Amino acid sequence: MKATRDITYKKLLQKDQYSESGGMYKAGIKVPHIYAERSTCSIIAGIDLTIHYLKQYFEESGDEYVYAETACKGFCSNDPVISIQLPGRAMISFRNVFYNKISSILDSILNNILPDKSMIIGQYSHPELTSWPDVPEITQLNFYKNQTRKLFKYAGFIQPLSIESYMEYNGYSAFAKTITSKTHSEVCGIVEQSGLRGRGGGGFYTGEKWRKALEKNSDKKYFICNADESDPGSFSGRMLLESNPHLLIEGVLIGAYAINASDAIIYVRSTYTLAISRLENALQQALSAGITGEDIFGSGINIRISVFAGPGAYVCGEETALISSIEGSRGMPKTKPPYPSESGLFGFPTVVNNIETICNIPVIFSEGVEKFKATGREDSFGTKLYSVSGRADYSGIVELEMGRTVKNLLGIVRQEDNPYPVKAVHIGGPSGGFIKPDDFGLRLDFSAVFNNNLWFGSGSFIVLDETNCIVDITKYYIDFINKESCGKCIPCREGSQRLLEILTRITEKPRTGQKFESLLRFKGVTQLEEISAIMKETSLCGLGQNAPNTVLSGLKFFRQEYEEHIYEKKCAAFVCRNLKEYSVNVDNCVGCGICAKRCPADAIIGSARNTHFVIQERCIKCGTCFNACKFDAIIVT
Amino acid sequence: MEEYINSLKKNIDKRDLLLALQDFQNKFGYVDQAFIEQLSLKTGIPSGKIYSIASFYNQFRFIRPGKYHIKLCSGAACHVNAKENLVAELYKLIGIKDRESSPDGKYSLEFIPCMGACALGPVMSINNNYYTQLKIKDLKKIIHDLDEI
Ligand SMILES: Cc1cc2nc3c(=O)[nH]c(=O)nc-3n(C[C@H](O)[C@H](O)[C@H](O)COP(=O)(O)O)c2cc1C
Ligand code: FES
Repeated sequence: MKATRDITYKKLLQKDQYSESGGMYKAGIKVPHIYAERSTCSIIAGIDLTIHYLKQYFEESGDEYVYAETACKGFCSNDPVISIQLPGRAMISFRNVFYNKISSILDSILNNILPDKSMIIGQYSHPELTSWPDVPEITQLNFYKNQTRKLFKYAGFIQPLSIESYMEYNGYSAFAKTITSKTHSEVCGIVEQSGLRGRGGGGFYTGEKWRKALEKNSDKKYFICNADESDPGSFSGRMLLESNPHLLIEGVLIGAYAINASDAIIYVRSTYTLAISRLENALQQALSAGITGEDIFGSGINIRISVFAGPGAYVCGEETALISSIEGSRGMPKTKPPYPSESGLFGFPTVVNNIETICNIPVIFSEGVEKFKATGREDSFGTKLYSVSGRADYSGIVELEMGRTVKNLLGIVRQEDNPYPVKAVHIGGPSGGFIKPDDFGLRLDFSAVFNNNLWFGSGSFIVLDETNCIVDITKYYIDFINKESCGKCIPCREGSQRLLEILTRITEKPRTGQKFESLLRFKGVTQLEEISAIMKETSLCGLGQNAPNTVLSGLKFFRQEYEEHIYEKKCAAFVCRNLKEYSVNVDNCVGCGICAKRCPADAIIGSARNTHFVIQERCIKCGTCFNACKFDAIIVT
Repeated sequence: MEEYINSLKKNIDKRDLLLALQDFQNKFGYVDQAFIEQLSLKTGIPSGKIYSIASFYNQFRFIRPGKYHIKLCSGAACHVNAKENLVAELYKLIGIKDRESSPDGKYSLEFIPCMGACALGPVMSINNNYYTQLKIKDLKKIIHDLDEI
């Protein structure tokens, strides 16, 4: 054990510079190298089948090859992605390689012929390797060119299952140097200087938090990584874990050392099975290499890291709730103070940091504070990860320098010639809010976001166009909050219930047509604002305090859409199904009767070869008749 | 299952309660009543309290999953991509809602938080087979094919 530890240590110290290309562009390879970007997203897209056929292909041909598993580079709409490097040639990547496409790609590329253009993403040129003619440079693609990749720099290059691969990119050398040459306080000092702020939402200064915990006298301390990430629409933490689990481990090690904690826990949502298995594998490797565990590098320091699979509740992302959950109780938040840095897990001082925050730590320690502060602005330095989805042309992970605008981000994920204009953007998950097109100049950094009553959350970024209904999306988030509210404090539990009732009411047609129903719908809007204000002020934790943000920003910027729902009982986006009305266009109906036959609610009547009729009271708005009619005789209003 | 329940360790610490529950669910797909009662004996925590803890978390199910366990993503991106229509269609096809099993034990349905393929939504999985960019037409065919079996 001691021997391996010393070997690792020597190896790590020899690497001095921040190596730019690591082991990826191997100039001297003899056989084709094939890399499959295997992550949850690509598995769902079907990469496992592609890999199966890939292996079979080489088995049949009997040629030699090297296969390695990497992880998604964040450009998820290209999944599944396969990259191939032939001896002496630049590496080239292919998109949407489904199982039926792999053999044709291999057939041509192994004979040095380029396959169909539409399948090629691009290549990575290298001075020592021959480039492919007329193939774009991947780093120059619009999606990558405008990003500032620090945490995701090596995603897709590093093999997440191999610690050597991480070390080829200088992994763990920052930690090795830190633990043997710096004191706890110096480490906190460096993080303080870097001005790093927590990416978990609150934007708390990380260095300050660590300093508080370090100064607390206690014989036991805990360092916890919060990788719960239950916000709907955010997956950056999962991608970090899947693409490069060692980066997180290195950050956790430095953090635990900084506050002098001997135990660290990584709290990952249990549904992230691939991420957990990669993380556990990485921890095992780090332990056998002597990087974690007892007496690390002969310094007398012990840091044990364990994984806790969080059983899933949004509120467990809140730090005090997360701690109760590890203690084995219901994950309910507690009133602060005392803060966890004073009395946290089992009553010991505890630091809870977001996974993205922690992944920034090795970057700061290897590139230096100066270089780190060169990205970002004023009070927000470094980069921020966004999980982009919705009506974007390219969805996936975007890493952008702090302080760039919403417009910049949209420029990366939308094609310029997209015919459907963006109606709004929703950031920050259930605690966040809408941004309207006039405000797309908004800078994405902590001060600007907080000043606008928004919230980064875990960085979800959902693009909406005219086919999306603002009221419906608000209802979705409030429904989520209502389900996830822990029920401890009344404003949040009851408030979210009332909000949901009001939103449901205005997205439905009045049932009986009586006057008081209209009154209720009408009253709803004024109540929405009132309830929101109360929830914001009196809720116990951030869940309830931030929940009304979506409602308020929606009301502020898209009031007209709310009014349409209330007064005209119309949903312009045709999303709110209960506001739709199906009827028969008399001119087109030939009386074939197919709609009446298919209708599950027996709501359509009419005799053969005569016009049919929809009984509105029975209609359940399922849309079956609309899909069934071959004569465009069913109209939706 | 009985064997497993009887082979539980004597004294389980409260801290390991969630781990024990997770372990059981991973093995059998749901948390059985008998297991909670046994756990209560071993930990000294009343079974009602254990149930209250377990039911707090989304991970735990208390109904035996069907032969075909359908998971439909209810994440934000899938919602934006018209997941609701699929929910209605599924209800029409197999007549069950979130966290229910069909009476013949053939299907069970669960809405789960974001699966992680938001770019490809809406996403559904049936016993670890994934279906992406799912349309109503595809869904009908999938369920129809399963009905035949
Ligand atoms: C309802 C709620 C949910 C939260 N969810 C998360 C989460 O999923 N991940 C996370 O890192 N922080 C989450 N937080 C923030 C944490 O409480 C905490 O501030 C954060 O982990 C601190 O890390 P940081 O200083 O690195 O930002 C949540 C907070 C609230 C109120
Ligand atoms: S929202 Fe469905 S996969 Fe993310």
